[in-house]
Amino acid sequence: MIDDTIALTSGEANLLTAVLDTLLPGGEGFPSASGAGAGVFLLDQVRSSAPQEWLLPLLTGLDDAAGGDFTVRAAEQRTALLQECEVAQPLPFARLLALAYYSYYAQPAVIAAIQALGHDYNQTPQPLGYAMAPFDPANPTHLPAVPRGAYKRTLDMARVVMP
Amino acid sequence: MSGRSGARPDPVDVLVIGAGMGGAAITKFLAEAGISVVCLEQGPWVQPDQRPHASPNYEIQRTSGRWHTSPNVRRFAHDYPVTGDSVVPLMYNGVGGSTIHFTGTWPRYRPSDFRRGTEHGLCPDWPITYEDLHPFYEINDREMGIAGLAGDPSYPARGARQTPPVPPGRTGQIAARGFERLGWHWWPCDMAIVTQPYDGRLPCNNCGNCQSGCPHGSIANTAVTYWPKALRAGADLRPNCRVEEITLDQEGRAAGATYIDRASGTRYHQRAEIVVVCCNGIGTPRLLLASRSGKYPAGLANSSDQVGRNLMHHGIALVEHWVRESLDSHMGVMSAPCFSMEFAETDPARGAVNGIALVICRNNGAGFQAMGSLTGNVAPWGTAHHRWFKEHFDHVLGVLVYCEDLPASENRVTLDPRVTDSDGIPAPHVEYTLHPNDRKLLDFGVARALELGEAIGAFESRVQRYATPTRDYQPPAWHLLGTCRMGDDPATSVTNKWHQSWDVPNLYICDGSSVVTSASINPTSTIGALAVRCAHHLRDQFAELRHAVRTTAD
Repeated sequence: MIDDTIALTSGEANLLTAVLDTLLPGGEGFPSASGAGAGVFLLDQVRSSAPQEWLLPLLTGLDDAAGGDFTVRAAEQRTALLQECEVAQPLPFARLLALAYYSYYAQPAVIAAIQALGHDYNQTPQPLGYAMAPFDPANPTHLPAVPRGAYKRTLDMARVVMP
Repeated sequence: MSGRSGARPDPVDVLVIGAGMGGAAITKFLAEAGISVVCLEQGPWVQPDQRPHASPNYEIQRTSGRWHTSPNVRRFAHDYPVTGDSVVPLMYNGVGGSTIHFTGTWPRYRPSDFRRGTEHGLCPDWPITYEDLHPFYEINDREMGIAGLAGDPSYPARGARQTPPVPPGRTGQIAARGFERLGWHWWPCDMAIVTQPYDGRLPCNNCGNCQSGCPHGSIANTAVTYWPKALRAGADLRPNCRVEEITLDQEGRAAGATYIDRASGTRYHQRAEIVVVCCNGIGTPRLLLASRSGKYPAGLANSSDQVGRNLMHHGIALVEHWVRESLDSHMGVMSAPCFSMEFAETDPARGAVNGIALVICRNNGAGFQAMGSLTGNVAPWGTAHHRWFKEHFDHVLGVLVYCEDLPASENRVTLDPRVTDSDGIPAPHVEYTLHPNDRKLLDFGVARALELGEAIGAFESRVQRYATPTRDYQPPAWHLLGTCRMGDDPATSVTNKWHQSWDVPNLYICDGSSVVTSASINPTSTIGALAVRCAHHLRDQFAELRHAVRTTAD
């Protein structure tokens, strides 16, 4: 759920949750955006970027298009409304989508879902980094078994004739 | 401009402006020789914990926040804006310069890169050869710490690298498989990233977030390579000090520079016997053009009207391939586990001069991959999202296509008449378009990168040509080159082969602006080698050069 310490009304917060869950519903072993906690994270990222100038108008515009009940519409209807929004307001929609994706994939529950697929993946690059097999000159996929390649020497440089 | 004036600092032998690749190397070697050096850097030190690598929002910081590569996005007070919509410039102002957030991709120029004038005449030859620069490449490599392996037949013989190559990982291995099938050259790419402990630095732990620099100290940011040694040798590094003008004495020689201590707002004048400008291919012409005087109304060192011209960035395209095999797209060095110089020489059959390089690269984290990686392949939102993600995440391999761009006079840096930085100094304005030759070459390179995708069995491929709704080519300007080039002819260059300006004999310029051609490959190893060569010349000839009254070609 959206943290109410963020400067959104409960209605706006519910609206954002519904939008995010339409963009990123749960499935295939992954949690929904709200189930992962992406909303709180997202709002934290936009605090300093004047969300009242772009995010809130985007959300309220969606709700207006839904007749004021976006949050209770069926998933298919919410999807259709967002598709219309994506066409009508491409720039703010793309901004929201980027924030939604980056916020979603930063959540521990989503990281766990990625790891459950067998990927060696950390929430942050540091401090752990990743273990990788070191370079092995005897491995022909690390170094060409038969090196090829050439270069022109300084003294061999001459005018080329273009066709 | 206003502000308090401070006491005059003691004069020094050499004033270096800019603490990046060039400025760091020059300061270190001169200080070690007992020459008194002050280096003025408009940005701060960047501490490891200021980097985003351990923050869950590290991808947001890199793509739209304080770790974006463009100063126009970061908008720090110590940055300066770059106007014009030609390019998205990469630069960083701070101790280390743009090595603060470079990927460390470290191939050298090749002998032919210094002789393109002889080859096709669409640009000048360099006033030096690869052989002239070779020993300084070697010195700079030892200072920076390079991962790589000798024996690449696409280069002249050279010394051993300091550490073994970076782990190729599955990305490198799959790419190698493709290169082998096509019968093309490939080799582990030289990287300014240490893979074993070296010179007090930790080895890379393959975290994958190289584009935000390295909190580990493994990437050869000059703040962890040259600067500790320079400071131990007695160099006086002054961060947060922004130069507004290089000043002249009554004889028309450089007297020093006026700078603003950004912490206090106080303006100082630092006197020096020799001034060396190392502010990169945009910052250097900006400073020279801003240093106008009665003697040089068109800007300092600009009697030839060459300052700011011949801007090069490389022609760049990015091709990404998604394969069925799981790769390691989010771990290991971003660029480059391996590369191919198969097409680096001019082939007239292409209908274009110069060559291209194919550099294999990786792709950051899950959010970035869902957002389309580097080619706009954005995951669908809604119910199809997760299936798409499972098919694409960790299955992407990038091919950077670098083509040498010709130095065109109209591609240039000028001063913006309206926009300034936070201290009121005019912002640089950039105009850049791709030459028809380079466009043809880039198309050739994209076709080869797509061919590689077929060879590795890609199920999906995308091409990023950096077109926007307003411009057919708006590249990420990772490399800022050529705007104060060296040469033998004062009419077509800004400095002689020793980086000494033709107009002002005690003014030197040494950074990306010095290069004559861009080659088809990352330039920082060459910029570093040029700086080491310049430093050795200044050091060895200092007694004469400090009193020089004219610049000659020799």
